[in-house]
Amino acid sequence: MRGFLRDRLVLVWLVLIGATLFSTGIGGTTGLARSGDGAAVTAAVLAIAFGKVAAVIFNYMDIRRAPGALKILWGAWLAVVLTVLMGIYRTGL
Amino acid sequence: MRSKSTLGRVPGEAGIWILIFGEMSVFSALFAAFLYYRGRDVSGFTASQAQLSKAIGLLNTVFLLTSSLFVALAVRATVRMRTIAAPRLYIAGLTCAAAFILLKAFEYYTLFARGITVGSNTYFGFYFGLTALHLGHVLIGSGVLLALAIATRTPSSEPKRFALIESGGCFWHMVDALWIIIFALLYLVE
Repeated sequence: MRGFLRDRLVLVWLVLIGATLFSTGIGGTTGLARSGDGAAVTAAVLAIAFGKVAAVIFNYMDIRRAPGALKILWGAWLAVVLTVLMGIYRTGL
Repeated sequence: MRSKSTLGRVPGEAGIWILIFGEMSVFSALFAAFLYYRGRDVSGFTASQAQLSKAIGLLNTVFLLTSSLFVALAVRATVRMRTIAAPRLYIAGLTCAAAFILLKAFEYYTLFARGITVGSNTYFGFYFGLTALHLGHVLIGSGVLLALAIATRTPSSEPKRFALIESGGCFWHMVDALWIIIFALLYLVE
């Protein structure tokens, strides 16, 4: 069991589940942070979602062991899409 | 001169990455459109979002994250020639996919029962459009997982075959990654 919990793939899954529970807790119309700043909650929810996607791409798709160019490409793609989505949300474009 | 391991290796077939980049970019355009229209009707989108069950969205996210774990473990078991463990792990991933599909069908049913359809408003147009498009990918991915469960019952060290198996795994992880963003946008954005 301890060996299982030391497995990187399992640890990544635990982090993904923890991040999911946290963002579900703070987000949405029944979120724990409902009385707070909706923009800040949304920024956190989107940032956590893209962090989770990065974890899946780098660990489960094994991009962490891919050539540097592919790692940079994925990192840049995630950063650009997150920035564009945040920008549309904040400015109401 | 750097060794091959330092330079890294591209997982799966090169073509799968073109597909994955393309698919994720198309979905991202839809995500951007969703937020654009949300900005024009924040109260309407918020009221519609309140019609959804966050618990169902959360449970479905757990199903897909867990299926991704099983598939990642399965691909590793395939590399290690574990012809008993690998198919079982793909089947475990497939079981999580089936749970996702059943729960999504239940969610659609509860919405339809309340008279909510794709034509109800812009929010639900996006909700049904995005989730149905994603569900199509889940169904295709489930077929891929079933094929991998069958294929990995016999050991093979042929690199081409392994690249195909790894590509199938990457496709499934893409399905999981897309859902992570869909869940955040449809259920959690305030």
